[in-house]
Amino acid sequence: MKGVKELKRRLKGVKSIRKITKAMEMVAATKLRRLQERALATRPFARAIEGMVARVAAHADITASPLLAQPAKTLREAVVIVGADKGLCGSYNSNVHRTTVQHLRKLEAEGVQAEVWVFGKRAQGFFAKMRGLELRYAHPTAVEKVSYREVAQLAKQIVAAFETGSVQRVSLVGTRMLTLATYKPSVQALLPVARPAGNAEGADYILEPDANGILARLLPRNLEMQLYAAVLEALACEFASRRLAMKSASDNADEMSRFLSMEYNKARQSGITGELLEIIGGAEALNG
Amino acid sequence: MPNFKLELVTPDATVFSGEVTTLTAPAEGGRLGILAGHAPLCCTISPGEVVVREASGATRSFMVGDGFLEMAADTCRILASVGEPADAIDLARAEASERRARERLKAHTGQDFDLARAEAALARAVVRLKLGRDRSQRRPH
Repeated sequence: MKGVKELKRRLKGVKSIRKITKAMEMVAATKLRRLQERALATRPFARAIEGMVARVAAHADITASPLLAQPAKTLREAVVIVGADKGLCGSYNSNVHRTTVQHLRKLEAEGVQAEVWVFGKRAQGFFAKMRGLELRYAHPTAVEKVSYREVAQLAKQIVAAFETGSVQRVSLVGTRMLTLATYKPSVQALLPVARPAGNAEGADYILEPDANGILARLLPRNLEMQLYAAVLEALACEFASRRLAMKSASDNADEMSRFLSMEYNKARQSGITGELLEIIGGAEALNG
Repeated sequence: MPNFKLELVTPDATVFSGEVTTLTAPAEGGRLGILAGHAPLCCTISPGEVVVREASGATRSFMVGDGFLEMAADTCRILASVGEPADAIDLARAEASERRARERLKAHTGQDFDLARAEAALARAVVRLKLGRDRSQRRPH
C-alpha cells in the first residue's frame, strides 16, 4: 500500500506545479503581446532616422561629429549587454551570456580591454563575478520597465565615455527576433559610427543649418534609438522564450500527471484485487 | 491643392500619418511652411507647434519636441523626441512640469544637474501650455 500513497503524493505535487507553470505561461504571453507592440511601434522612427542619417551623411564630412572618428588604436571597448532580470526563460540567459563571453574572448585575443554596461539582474550577477572585467554600469530597475528617457540618459553617458576617449569602441549584445518563434543573440557595433555609404542625391538637397550641424545632432539621437529598439527587441525575445519554456513545462507536467494517475489507478486496483482474493481465500478456507 | 504625405513619428509611436495639403513646422531657424512639391529638405526643429491642413480641409495642431524634419519625394517625415495632438495635452501635467523645470533651473547646483535636460523640459512644458491654453480659449467648456 506504500506505493499507492507515494504515487498519490507525487501526483498532487505535479498537478500543483502545473498550475503554477500554466499561470506563468499566461503572464508571459500577455506581457509578450504588449512588448511586441511596443517593439513594433519603434520601427517607423528607427527606419526613418536610419534613412535620414544615410542621406545627410552623404553631404557631411568626417569631422561632422566626434562619433564618426575612427580611433588610431583601440585600447578599450564598452560592451552593452541586454540580459534578463529572472531565470525560467529557457536558454535565453545562457545564450546571451555565452555570446558575450565569446565576444569578450575575441577582444582579449585582440589585446583590447573590455568593460560592460549591463541591463538585467541575472546578467549583472553573472558578469560582476567575472575577473578582470569592469562592470561600468548596472541598469538599476527592471528591464521590462524601461523607458525611452532612461535609455536616452544612458546613451548620453556612452557618448561621453566615447568622446572623452575612455573607450574607443562601443558594441551591443542583444537578442534579435528573426520570426515570432525564432530568436538569436547577436553582437552589433555601435560606435564609432560606420560612415553610411549614401550617395549624394544631387546638390539641390537643402540642409539647415548645414549637413554637419544636422548630423552632429542626428547621430546621438540615432544611437538612443538603436539602444532603445535593441532593449525592446531583446525583451520581446525574453518573454517569447519564457512563454515557450513555461508551455513545455506545463505540457511535461500534463504528461507526467497522466502517467502518474494511470500508475496510481493500477496500484489501487491491484491492492483491491489482492484484498478481495484474500477475503475469498479466507471464506473458502472457512467453508472448507 | 495637391496633397503630400506626412508622417509624424516619435520613438514610441506614430502620432500622425496621412495626406495633407499644407504644413507649418517650428524649424530651428524660424517657422517653416511646406506645400506639395517642395524641394528635398532636411532641417532640425525646436519644440513647438506643427499645424497641418488635411486633405479634407480640416486643420490639426500637434505639439512636438525637438527633432528633425525631412522632405523628400513628396513625403514629409517629422521625427520628434515627443509629440501629441494639441487636444490631447494635459494642462495640469504641463503646469506641474513647468514649475518643476523652473525650480530645477533656479536651484541649479548639485553634481548631477543636467542643464540641457532641464531646459529641454522647460521648453516642452511651455509649448504644451501655450498650445493647450490656446485651444481652451478658442473652445471654452
